[in-house]
Amino acid sequence: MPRKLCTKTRRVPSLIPLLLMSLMAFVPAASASEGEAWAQRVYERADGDDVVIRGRMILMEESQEPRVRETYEYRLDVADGEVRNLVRFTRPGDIADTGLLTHDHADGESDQWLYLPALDRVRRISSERRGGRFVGSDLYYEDLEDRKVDRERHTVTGREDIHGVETIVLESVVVEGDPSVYSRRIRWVHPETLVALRTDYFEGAEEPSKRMTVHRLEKIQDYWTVMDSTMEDLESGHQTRLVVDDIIYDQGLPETLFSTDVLSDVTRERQYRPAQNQP
Amino acid sequence: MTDRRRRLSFTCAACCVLGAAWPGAAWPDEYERVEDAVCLSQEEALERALVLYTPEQPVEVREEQCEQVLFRVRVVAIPDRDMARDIERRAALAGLPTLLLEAPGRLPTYSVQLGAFDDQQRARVQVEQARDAGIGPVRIIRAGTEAPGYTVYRRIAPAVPETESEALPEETGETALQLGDEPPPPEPDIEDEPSDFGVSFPRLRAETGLLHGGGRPARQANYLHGEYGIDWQPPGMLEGRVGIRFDGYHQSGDQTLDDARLDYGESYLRFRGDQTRFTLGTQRIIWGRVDEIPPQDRLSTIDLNRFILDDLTDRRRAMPAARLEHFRGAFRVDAVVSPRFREAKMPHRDSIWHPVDRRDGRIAGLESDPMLADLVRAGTFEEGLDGDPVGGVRVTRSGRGGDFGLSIQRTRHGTPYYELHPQVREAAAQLAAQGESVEGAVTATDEPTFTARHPRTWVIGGDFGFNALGATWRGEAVWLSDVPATTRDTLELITVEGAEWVVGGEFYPGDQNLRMTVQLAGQHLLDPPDVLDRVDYTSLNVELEEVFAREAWRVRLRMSTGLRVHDFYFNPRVSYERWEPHEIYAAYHYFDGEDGTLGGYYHRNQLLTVGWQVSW
Repeated sequence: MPRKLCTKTRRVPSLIPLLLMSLMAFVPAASASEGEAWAQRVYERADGDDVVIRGRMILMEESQEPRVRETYEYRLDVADGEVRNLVRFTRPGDIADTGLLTHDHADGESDQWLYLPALDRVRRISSERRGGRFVGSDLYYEDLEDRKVDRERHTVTGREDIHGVETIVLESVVVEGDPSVYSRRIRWVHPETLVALRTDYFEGAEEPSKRMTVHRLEKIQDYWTVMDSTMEDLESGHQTRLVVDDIIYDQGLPETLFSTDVLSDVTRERQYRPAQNQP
Repeated sequence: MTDRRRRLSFTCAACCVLGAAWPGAAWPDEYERVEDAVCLSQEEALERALVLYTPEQPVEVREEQCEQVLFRVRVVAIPDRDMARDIERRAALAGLPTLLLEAPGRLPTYSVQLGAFDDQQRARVQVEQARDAGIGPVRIIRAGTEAPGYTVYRRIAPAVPETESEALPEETGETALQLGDEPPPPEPDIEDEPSDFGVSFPRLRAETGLLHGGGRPARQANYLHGEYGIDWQPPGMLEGRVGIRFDGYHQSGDQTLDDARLDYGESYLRFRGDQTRFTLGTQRIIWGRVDEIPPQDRLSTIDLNRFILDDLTDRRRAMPAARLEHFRGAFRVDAVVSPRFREAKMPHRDSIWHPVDRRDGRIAGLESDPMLADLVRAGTFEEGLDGDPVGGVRVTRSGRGGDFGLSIQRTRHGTPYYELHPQVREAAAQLAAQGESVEGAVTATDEPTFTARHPRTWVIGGDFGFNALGATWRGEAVWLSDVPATTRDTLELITVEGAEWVVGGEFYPGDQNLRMTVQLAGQHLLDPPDVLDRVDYTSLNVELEEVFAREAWRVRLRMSTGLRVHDFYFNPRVSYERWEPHEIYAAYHYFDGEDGTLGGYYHRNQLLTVGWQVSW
């Protein structure tokens, strides 16, 4: 093909209106492509190459004393969609030292292992669990996953205020064939921090079944961090409050920390934990 | 055609259409030309746009009029047509492209074009080829034209903020954002200053059991258990632990019992390196992969005090050992040496769980035999000690796609196998031949009539685990060089080769909280003579577990049934766990089976238990 030099822009000969109408039907709506862009940015929100969190999961029911699960969570973004995650329970006593190790791979597959301290044994478990409540909370196993953007189609449906803060309303509908528990999600995304301040989860119905609400964000080591949030089961009224008590980013966690031998040996991860009782 | 390419094609078409619908319309200012993607073919422009496209900076392909420069190679000013045709023929023979052109006029002239190129260098090459073919004079003529072309434009201002540093409210100095009026969460418990020493109560438990049914050996069976440990974990590579346990058993009814025992728990010193861990002391080491009945679990000390009422963890005791674990990548090497084999912890002889029934003359796992029954009732038993070194090596790999393990062990059978004294056996044979009762044969020796043996054996095994079809699949198998058995005719203890295997899967039907484990298991004696022991045994083992009310309630069902023999165990259990870390439970244990099976041996021990346990 001969190389050309551009001289001027000129309108091309007109086409029939019918062709115009049919072609316009295929042009993606600006809000849909904008939605994809927002979803990508939220997914790629800067959250550190690695992080260690000391946190609590507070299970709340009406007329019942809250139950607390204390955990340490370690996360490492290895590269190119490879994520490693280790959760260690420290309280209550009957699940203390139980650990859950997850390897998320770039192709969307995952491997998961559970450490049972009573047996001193590491067990491979199904990584395809999505339903089922995680340690009795209002979080499904799917809520713990690294959710790739292309699993859903994203559309910006408008802008709304959440507690006086303007947000972009982003609707994400699961693509056909995806085995998600949810049919769609609606997120109210804070454009400055790229954090979803509120997320409604739908399980096939018109009304949401669960809602995640963020109560407090803090900027720690230049990363906006959700410090306090609640997942509520809208049907039963049960709530799970997720509290971050301490957090450290970018320690340079080694990839060897996320191995099954460390999963079975609590001592080896302790050196990376945020120290308690700090003034 | 990919989705993105299709989208760009449509965008390109839409741009053309928009240009037609609104003549003279100006393009939006936020787009800029990509300088190295100017005046391309439509195909080339789309390819380039695919490479350049990002969600932050979308691209457009626009049709434009472009100046085209060509370098034409021609033989010019040919005066007549015949001469021009001759040049054309010779060029064609030389493999050159040809085009005969006429410039009309009062005196027409002709030219033969030998190709047109957008690159002057290529035109020069064509000239050389023509001259080599004896064609000339050849000229390069530069010409310019206008033709439609396609240029890629990219949006200048991204649709979303490019970098957080531009978008974040740095100017306001905000470092926190409080939303709503939710009260702050409760403060976490503040622990005492960290110390090198820690105290733990891994378990405290109290249980009462009521037996029922005709022929029950006792009316009530109670159990009290406690474990206590002191951990030492200073900074550095050393750590240690001292543990102790207490077990109390009480029975009332026909078989009464009051028994209390102290035993050591895990008590060790451990050295920890980067990839190595060495542990010296008493440890609970459970090898294998499958649930409840791992065939490779041959080094740990079995606790038979409560048969199978408890989970695997509670059916194993600590044993003295030196253990070396080395980790490298996904692999782990685990080597264990125990200087003195620790046989299974047996229940008190009056316990309803003892494998020897002196009242009816039975031994668990053996078919009833009149001669054997007389000897069991009349004879004496010694729990023999065969303490000598045992050990093994296990290599496992845990990584993407699946896990596997291999092991080799030289060890002893932990469960006792009772050997009839040779002199008693001989005397019994003589009495039986005379048609007399064999009970008197027990006086043939002053030594115990029956001695517990723990034959040595090699154990070579392997296991695997992987996920597929939404389930976790596990399998394990071992070959044993020496499995004890008793000949039917002479009641002699022999050993034969054996094999054991388990395969199964763990499922979550409906992807909810219900967990279901199904395992097939087999135990086989390989080519034995006629023995009292079961030669082939296969069973189906099922475990169901479900939680309710946010794990306030847990319901579990264990079931085991022989496949070619009636041997059945059924154990439903319900527990209340809302009162953390306490647990209150109720369970039922049902045994049934034909002669020679464990279900048949324990069929009178059906009981209902209620208990409480706590872990700190």
